[in-house]
Amino acid sequence: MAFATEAKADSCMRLYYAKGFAVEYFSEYKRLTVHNPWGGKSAVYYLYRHQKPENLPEDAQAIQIPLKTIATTSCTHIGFLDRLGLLASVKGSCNLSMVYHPEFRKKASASLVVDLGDNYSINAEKTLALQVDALIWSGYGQQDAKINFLRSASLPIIENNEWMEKDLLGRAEWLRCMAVLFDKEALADSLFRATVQAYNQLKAMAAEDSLYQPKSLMAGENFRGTWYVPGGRSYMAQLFRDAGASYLFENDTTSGSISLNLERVLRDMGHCDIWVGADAGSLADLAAQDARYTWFDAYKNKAVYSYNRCSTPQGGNDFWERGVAHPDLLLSDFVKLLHPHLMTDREWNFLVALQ
Amino acid sequence: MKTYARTIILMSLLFCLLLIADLCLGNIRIPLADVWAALFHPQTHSSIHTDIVLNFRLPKALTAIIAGSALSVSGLMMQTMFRNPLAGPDVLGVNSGASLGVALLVMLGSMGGIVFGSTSWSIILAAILGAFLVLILILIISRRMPDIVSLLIVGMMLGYIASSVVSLLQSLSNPESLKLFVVWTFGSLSAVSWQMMPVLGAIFIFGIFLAFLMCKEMDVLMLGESYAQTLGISLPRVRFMLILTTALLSGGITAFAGPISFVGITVPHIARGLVNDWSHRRLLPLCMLCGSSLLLVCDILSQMPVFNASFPINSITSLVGAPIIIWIMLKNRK
Repeated sequence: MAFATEAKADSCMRLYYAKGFAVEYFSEYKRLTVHNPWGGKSAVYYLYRHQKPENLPEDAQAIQIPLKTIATTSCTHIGFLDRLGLLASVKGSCNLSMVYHPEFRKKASASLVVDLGDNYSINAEKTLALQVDALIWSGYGQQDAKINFLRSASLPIIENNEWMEKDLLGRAEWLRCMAVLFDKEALADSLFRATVQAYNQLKAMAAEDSLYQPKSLMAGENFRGTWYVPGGRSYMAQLFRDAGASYLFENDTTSGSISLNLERVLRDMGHCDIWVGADAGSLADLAAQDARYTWFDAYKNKAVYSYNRCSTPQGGNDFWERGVAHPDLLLSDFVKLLHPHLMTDREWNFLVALQ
Repeated sequence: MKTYARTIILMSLLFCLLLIADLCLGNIRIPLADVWAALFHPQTHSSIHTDIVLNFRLPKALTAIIAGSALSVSGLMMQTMFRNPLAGPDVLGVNSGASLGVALLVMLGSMGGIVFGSTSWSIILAAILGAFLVLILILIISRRMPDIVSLLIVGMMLGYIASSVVSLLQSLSNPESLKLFVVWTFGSLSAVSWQMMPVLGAIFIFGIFLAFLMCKEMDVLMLGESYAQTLGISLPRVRFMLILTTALLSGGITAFAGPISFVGITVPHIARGLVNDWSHRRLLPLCMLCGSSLLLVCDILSQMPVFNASFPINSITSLVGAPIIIWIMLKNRK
């Protein structure tokens, strides 16, 4: 969909990994297209600095940038905004108790950021009363009545569906999409380039490690008898692969999680060397949750790790903030886990061994 | 009769007060003058407050009124048909059918990588189709089953089957779709926008019209089926009409606002407790007033400014309604 008068964009943002958005530059404005990962119409935003472009298509949204104040619905946006130095612009956020970022939490407890409720049922009245320039909304494939109301009340809703990307670096590249709204493309480009470089270096280092004794990983957790383990095309499986681990589902094509029963998990993963992603504070806690956890070799060998190194008791976890914007830090942890001799000088970021 | 007129007047006053309160109270404080201006001079007072009152709180309050009335009337009809005080709009399994429709759309769709749900209407359509499927089954069975208790059991069984398929889908679906479905089961009065209101309104008016047409038959049913038959009432026809009307009203509400439990079972008891009258021509309007007032109270409570999120209307109805029922029963015992 283009202007009646517009022929071609002056230039486009070249994306390396992300598939979910596109940015085109015209002399007076930028056009941001956020594709609908669930099929259906893409959202198109005309971002202008001074004067609203004329002859816009009927369903186009014209938004003046750079945005000065925003509200967000997902803690994954916090990681991007933090990297761009834009956290001060956030005036409201959904699920505030689930945020890890210490500075942001301080702001929230000083009532400088308003809690907008659950992201699946946003508090429409409070959001509108904030009078922010835009709401950055993490979509979930369905029409949301409250979001529709906010839209009809002329609050610009900018979709940000980074969580639907298939690739870790693709997800991190949404940093550049966020930057477009604040005229911070140059900064975002350099930050993203550094992330990709660091990620690829770690990946190459793991692949070239001649001293590496292959180790098998098991992942996921048990919920009332059903285990949810990462599918072969999930972010976690990508990390396992890039760090050189052997993973039972590495050839599987599921991008979400796979549900399995305990018998199957015991048979197939009972002898794995390492267990990552256990949700407990200690090995004793884990055994108290379910005594059958002690049957696994990884438990017996005390090789169980959780992602809770930087987390809060309320459920905030840096894994969903810095981890999203910094996949290199995620990979760094996995390379350190599998190739400890290569990473003696590196600190852990997210993983913590249960004692 | 005097008691009835007095109760209706008092309930109407209470209803009006609650409606005003529902428009004035919400997550943010809006001055009374702004609420007034938003309702009566929206053109001249364009502001965020006008948007919130006119396009958020007003449709929400209207939905509360429609849903409260429709579910209470459905409950009354089912209690009369089955002559069972624990019957409610969901005994026919129609609401479970609506849930099944939504579950199939939200969860099975995401599993197969197919998405039907890109518009607000798709969830409504899925719920209507699910409810309609169960309705057809129950109507066919009701034709072949002369015994009303067996029909009640069959309705419950259909409900269980639908709920089981929903659970099965839940166990297999990904966390995002699961959450989406769970949020739907909370029920939401704000899910109905002005665009949807005419359709919901038409279903409601038609359903209530049918219910009023059935008043005399329902009065006779209360005296027993054999007595009704001796008075020349065609039982299969009456049952057909009662099932159809209930499914239309409660299935319609479930489709638009999600499941809202409790109101349908309890409001008829509240109404009967207030006037001690069994005439449906009198009970129906009172049920509508009590049901709308109860849902308005629940909506006010669920949107209190002290809470950050809006609480699920489906749980607030039971939290508020159950103590009222216990109080009425204790009062009547005295």
